[in-house]
Amino acid sequence: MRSTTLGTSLLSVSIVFAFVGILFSNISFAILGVAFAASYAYAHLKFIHELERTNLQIDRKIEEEMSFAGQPIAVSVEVVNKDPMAIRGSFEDILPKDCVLGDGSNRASMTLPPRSLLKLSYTMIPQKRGIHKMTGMRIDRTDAYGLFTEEQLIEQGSELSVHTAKDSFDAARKMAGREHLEFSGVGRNPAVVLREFEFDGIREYVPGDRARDIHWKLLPKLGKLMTKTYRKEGAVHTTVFVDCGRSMRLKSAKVAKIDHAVDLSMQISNVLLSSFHPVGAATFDEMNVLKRIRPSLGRHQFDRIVTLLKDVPGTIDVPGIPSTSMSSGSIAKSSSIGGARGNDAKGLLSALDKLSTKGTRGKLGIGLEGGIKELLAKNRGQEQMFIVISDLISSRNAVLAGASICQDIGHRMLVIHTYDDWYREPTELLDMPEIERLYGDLNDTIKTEAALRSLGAMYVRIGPADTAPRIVRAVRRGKT
Amino acid sequence: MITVSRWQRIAILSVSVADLMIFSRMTIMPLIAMIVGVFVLFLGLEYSYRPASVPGLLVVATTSSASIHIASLATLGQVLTAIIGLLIPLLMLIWLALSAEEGDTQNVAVVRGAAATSVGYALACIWSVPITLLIVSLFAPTVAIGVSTFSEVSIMLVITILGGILILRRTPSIRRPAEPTPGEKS
Repeated sequence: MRSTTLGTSLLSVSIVFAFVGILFSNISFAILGVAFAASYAYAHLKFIHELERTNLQIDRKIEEEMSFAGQPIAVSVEVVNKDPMAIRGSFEDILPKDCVLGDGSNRASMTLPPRSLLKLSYTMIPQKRGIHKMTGMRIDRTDAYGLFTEEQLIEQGSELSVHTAKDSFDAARKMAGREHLEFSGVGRNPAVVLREFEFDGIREYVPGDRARDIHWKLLPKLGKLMTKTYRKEGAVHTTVFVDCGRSMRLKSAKVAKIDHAVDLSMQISNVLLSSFHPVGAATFDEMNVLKRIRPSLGRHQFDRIVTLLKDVPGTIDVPGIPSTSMSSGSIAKSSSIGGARGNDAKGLLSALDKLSTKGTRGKLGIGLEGGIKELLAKNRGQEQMFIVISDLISSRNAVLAGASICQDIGHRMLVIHTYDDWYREPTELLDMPEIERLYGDLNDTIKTEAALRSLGAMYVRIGPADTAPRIVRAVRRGKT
Repeated sequence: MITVSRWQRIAILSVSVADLMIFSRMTIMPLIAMIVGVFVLFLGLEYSYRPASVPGLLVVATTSSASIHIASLATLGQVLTAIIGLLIPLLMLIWLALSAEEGDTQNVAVVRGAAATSVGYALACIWSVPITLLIVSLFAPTVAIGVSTFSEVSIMLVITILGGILILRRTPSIRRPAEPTPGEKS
């Protein structure tokens, strides 16, 4: 609790009168000092009482159903003073971090009478995608006598999930008509767009086979019924996996890998859906599959994917910490880079890396591997295509394990590798240790690429400048 | 909690000023100063303007203190004069002057607990002198008789300071906004 100028003056007057009382041996002035001191004490106690019994009801409404990064969001706040005492001061609805005020004002300086309402309307502009937390309302309280001030926080938290910038949606919409991407394979689901039945082979008749499938011409030759079998040729079910691990979320330059991955997954999904390709999406981190939507061709599938991607965790601003230095292969060499927070992150990733290495990993697997296994178990006989967007740092082993599973069972995988060094702010001066580190990272990546290719997975290495059309064209032309 | 209306405040002002005038022995100059002070204080109250009422209060308080002569707090009559003639009206006037706030037009809330504590504190400060002298007289009667005004004022101020520290040590148990971290934007 701080004393205002008036409060300090009152206290000073009290002290002055006390001194006058001592100097002139005058009891009346000393009593005057006592009276001022007692009034100061009363104001103090009353203000404490007011602060402690504050009873505000805050009702905050976000007017937009879908919020986009860089776009203004209308917010209306209603504050009801349910206390029988007035609240004096400056009310401020605290904006989330990474949000700036647009139009209107989130502050009001006033006396809020008992049982009355204060309305604030303003717009705020989120600077980045992710979940933004609004903590509550800050009130710079002033007491009824103007002697004290105090900052008070009325907690009324609400979360605002902000999607990626609107430009990305426009790009996805434009791409849907222009770009085409298809992965053909054996489909079982009738929802798959069937082109034609392809002849597969002949087997002995089994009761229940349709009469039209019986190979009648072979009956006189073999003396027994044979049945022709077909297989359905169609678009395979595709699931886009977005890595939401810590290394993906670290942002050391203008573009964060996770934001780029969200944009790409949305745009690629829309391209596939526009080609009548059943598409689903999933997000995963080092440990779990966070959310998943089954591949489908429904009318609202793109909306569902967009909603899923809206809840992808936001970025973590770590200026100057290269997340590559925390890669599983190069943790030891980068002990000098990063600082305290970098060391914490390294520790976490190293622990996760140990957990996810073969031998200690459970049978179900963790992260992506577990998600792929679960998906395959639920869709037996259905050929699947997995598009994994990852930086292959914290989930490298899980991606390799997933590729191995795909190779074993006959599914396909496309790995879109957001190469970490390309997402970093370029350093002005390249010294020898930095060059060695870059070389080491590239070497590790080439090894990982070779491992993935040997497991039959397609592989694309991308940077922040790579757009979805370029990736789609590269995949279509077989440059993967 | 008690609420006091505008008319009740004016009544309190009148009674307090009358009380001060009754117990004081004023010459013409302090009387003029007192009247001016009361007028400024009244204007401040009427227009809910604290910057006017506080200087008015200071004028009234100074002139009334200078006009009321209290020789010693060792006698009961002088103590009652100090309390009834000076302390209580001054407390009322200080409260009225500080309550003159823009926007708060009709009712002023008084918190009973806080008021009782602060009045008790003020009375304890006044009564500290006779009580101390009573205790001292039990052990050294001659010392108690010969206590000077300076000593009485000193005793009272020591109790005022100690009591003030005890009261002002209390802090509200509320949630304060967290300090922003160095890298965090506000």
